[in-house]
Amino acid sequence: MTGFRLKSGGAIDRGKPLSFSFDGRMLRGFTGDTLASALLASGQRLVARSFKYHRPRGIMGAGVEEASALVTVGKGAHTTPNTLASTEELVDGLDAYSQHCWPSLRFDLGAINQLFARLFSAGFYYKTFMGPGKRPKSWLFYEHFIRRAAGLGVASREPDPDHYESREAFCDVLVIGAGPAGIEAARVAAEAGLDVFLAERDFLLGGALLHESQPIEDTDARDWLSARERSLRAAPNVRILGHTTAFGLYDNGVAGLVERLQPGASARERFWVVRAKRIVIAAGALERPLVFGNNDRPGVMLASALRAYANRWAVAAGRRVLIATNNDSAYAAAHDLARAGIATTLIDARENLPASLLHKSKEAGVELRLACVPLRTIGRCARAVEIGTADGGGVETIQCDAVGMSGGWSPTQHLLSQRGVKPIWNETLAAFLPGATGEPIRCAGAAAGTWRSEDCARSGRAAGAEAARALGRRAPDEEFPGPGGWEAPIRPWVFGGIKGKAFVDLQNDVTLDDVRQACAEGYDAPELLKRYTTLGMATDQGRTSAVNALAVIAEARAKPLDAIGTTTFRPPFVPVSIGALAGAERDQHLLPTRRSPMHDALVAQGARMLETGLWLRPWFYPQGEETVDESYLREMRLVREAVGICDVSTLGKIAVQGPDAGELLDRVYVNAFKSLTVGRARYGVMLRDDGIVMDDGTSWRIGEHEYFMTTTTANAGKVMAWLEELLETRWPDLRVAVTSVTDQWAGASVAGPLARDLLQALVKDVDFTNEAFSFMGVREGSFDGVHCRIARISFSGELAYEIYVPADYGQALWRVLLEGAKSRGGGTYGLEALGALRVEKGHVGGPELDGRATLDDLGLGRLASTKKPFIGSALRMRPDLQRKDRAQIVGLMPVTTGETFKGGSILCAAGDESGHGLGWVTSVTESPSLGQWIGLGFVKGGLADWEGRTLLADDPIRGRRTLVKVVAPHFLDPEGKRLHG
Amino acid sequence: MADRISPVSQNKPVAGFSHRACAVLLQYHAWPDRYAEMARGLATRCGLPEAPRPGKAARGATAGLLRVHPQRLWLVAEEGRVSDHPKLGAEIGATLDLSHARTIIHVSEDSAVPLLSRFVAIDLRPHRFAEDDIALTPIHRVGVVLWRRADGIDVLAPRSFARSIWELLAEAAA
Repeated sequence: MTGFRLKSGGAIDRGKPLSFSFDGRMLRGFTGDTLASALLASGQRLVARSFKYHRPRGIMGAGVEEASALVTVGKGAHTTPNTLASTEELVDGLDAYSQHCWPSLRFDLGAINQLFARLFSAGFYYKTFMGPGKRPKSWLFYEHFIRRAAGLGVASREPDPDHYESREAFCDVLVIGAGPAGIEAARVAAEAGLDVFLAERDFLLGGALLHESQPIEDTDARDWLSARERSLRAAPNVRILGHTTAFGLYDNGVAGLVERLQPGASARERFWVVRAKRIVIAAGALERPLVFGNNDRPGVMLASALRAYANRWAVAAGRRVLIATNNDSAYAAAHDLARAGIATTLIDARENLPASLLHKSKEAGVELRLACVPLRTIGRCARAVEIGTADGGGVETIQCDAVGMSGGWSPTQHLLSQRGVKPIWNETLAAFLPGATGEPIRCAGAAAGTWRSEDCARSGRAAGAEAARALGRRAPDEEFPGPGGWEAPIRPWVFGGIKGKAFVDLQNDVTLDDVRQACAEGYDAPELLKRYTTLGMATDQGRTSAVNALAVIAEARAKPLDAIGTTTFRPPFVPVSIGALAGAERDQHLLPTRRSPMHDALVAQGARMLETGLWLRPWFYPQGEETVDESYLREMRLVREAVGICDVSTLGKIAVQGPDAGELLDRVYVNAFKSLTVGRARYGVMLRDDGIVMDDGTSWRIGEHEYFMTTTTANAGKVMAWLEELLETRWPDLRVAVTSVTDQWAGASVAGPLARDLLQALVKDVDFTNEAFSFMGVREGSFDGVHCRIARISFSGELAYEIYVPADYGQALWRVLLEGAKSRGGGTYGLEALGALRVEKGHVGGPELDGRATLDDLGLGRLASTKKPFIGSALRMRPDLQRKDRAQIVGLMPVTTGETFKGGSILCAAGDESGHGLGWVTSVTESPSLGQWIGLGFVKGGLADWEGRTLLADDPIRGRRTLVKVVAPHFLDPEGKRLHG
Repeated sequence: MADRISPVSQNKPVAGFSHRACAVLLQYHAWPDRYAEMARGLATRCGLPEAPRPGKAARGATAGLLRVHPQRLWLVAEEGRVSDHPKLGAEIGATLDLSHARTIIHVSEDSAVPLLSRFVAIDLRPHRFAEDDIALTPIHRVGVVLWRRADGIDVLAPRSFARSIWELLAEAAA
């Protein structure tokens, strides 16, 4: 027989039935059910297959301790694998599927693994595929098949269509867990006037009280709970989050929480970062399984789970139940089941019990056997249990259709362990209790080893009052109760007489024999054992297995358990979806986007935009069906023959102000800037400390104490941070302020023979004649009443200017420039043309400033001042950076006109294409001015060794080989007549 | 004279949001040991008894002052021109016009805390972040200044990121 719904009782709403499916089979449950309770009530015992052996598995727990009943929830893109059936709230229309089985749950071919179980013992992969004498290839070959055969559920490969949110929250006290301890901690702290945040994993508050049949503080548990909940919900200074699990604790009272929201909510999950002055961990305790033969069979459950299903969800896991225990806690379960009309046998490993327990059991109608332990279950789904004495004698078979087990309790130490707190072993309770922490964190209730509900409530009140006093509030005195609460001591760990596979870690299919074998092979420390056997890994993270495993190790090493050590739990305590971690920062919001002040005007004009870093920049401006190549070549011609305008607002711009501004620039640039006169600009290069080129740009002196520095777009942030660092750390005495003004100014380059004509018509208060406004001159003027800043500088090699206006006028500037350019036969040019124009001119750009090149490598050594030190001036003289055979910049042209070559090609001497070659190609473009392809690159020895000689540009990736001639890198107008014209 | 165009002018209106340009945003940076002198002078010019402390703003008759940096004050005016406001002498510090560098996204009181707390690791509840409190903080990895006003929170966002931040907030608010 299987589970069924009891006729009455439970915290379910029988007036609100729900439909759901499991493996396509339509089933019914009620509002208030979990998926597990509804499956049990529907008689579904088999719900999963195990990780390694594909053994049939059922529902074992009633909460987060579940290690077997992992299912996949949802369809298609909404699929969530590895969901605990025991924590999944049932909603109408929920689709759940078994996972890790084929072709079906009932008939799973993977179960063939059970035949080879002897082979798959501890350390199987290491012994079989790795180590001395093993070839890596064999592991690489078999890995695929092994990973397919073992594992958990499979995530959808479709993009996740759901929304996720994140929230930042602050509070005085964060209470984790809303059982009796958490509720009382929150209440007392709130009554003291503190700002309280109460997080509960379950969708109902109450914790163990939700299935408690005994009164608490002389009040029916449900009444007690209802009254407290009403009070908390009415308190304005208490925020209560259900469905919310604290998965991690971090420095300074920061907690990570994940909240699961109901269908129809604004998001599927919400990621909370809560900053609390104090934290109360009232996360309860987890019941441990007993280790005996076939303890993983469907129908074998934790005793507390049997009780929870009966009392909270009105579900009986079977009609005849056997409960095996070594402690007092299972008695309550046995009594409640018996009172619900379920034939219940209780076997206890202990020999002597207090009369009160015996009396209560008799009164409840429980058949009690003392000094008995389970040896193994019988049946694919448990239908009987062989019991016997601790040494395996006195074997007797007891028929049953559900088995409960209680091997003791483990206070939930995971969050505290994440903080590096070592738990302390309590021999009397056979449990790890919280160790001392220097942080304002307090464990309360069962999380502190307090077993009785009333003591848990007291513990919570004490924790709440402690928090209140610590934060300067008045609160009643309440002492923390001591740990424990059982009438008779626990008798832990009976490993004798076990028959068949006895699982220590049910989720990872790690057996008692595996652990013993690992110990015998020397892997007898918890961390080693974990890695050798996988015990404690995956979603379960050793919640139910860790202490039992330590006991086996202790037995194997003949040492007390507290001498064995523990593992340190890592976040997250429960799985957290990637979507929740990402929150709203996905798709187009994965990263912020920067837009130029001209952006809308550029887009309206048909610009194809390109992501460059965070910026969107105009790549090219196609006319009709033009390709990028056709477009950029046309745009280059406009610049060379008429006038082109280009949005350069993205260039980094830094205001350098103060009496020592020139001194700062002298120290960071290789060349002199203090001597620059007002109204002039200068090209400068800055080095890193190690003598390698960091960035280049122009700086304009716009006042006695003010420079306007421009940087490359890519390095704007880096240069700004660098200057700030220098001023903060090395030269705090300098009276200089540096401020990024990239967002303050919109800029356009106006380049071409008609640039002067265009600007003169626009900016009437500036004299653009060559005599009045020479190359590298800087002027301030206005157009249409808008102040503008203009420098005569050129990246293209043409007569060119950069004009800047306050950013909100950027579109206005662009429109008048465009109109002016078009009327002169010119137009716009984009990033592609900009890059090509500078290659023609031989200006270095991003591909050349690659973090490896020195000034001399770039042919800019003559810029370096010999009269002043500057950053990098010492280390640039290192012998290795001064070697003559360093790769230095050269120009490249195909030997055969019309042939092309690619950036990234390796430069080799023809006939010697071995090794890394002699250099590399950095930038290549088609040059309409020269009628052929040209490029820049680096070659060992540079022009001195190679000018006029031929190299092979070898592009093995794309399969192109081109003979190129080495030439000077200034292809166009090397004398500078155009830009000075 | 040309009109100023906001970077979010093309975006659809969103309930609870508005945007405006800074008519005047001037940055005043004092050299070491000259901050107190600069702050006193600016407070007087703005009609304030004293300059704001770190993390605070103070509003005078003609402009508000924001303490955004150990050595800096921002002067923000809703109306007028940059030239209406003082310029520091070179011996005291430097003055910089940033009027176009920031766009103000205003989030109304009803939306401010629930919306911004999705992106900002600051306790923005009114009793913690009161009127004329300011904070420098990242939103979506972009450094912004938050300024609690009587009717909500102003987000002073870098102009180039303003649309991206607007869209992120608008989508979250939808």
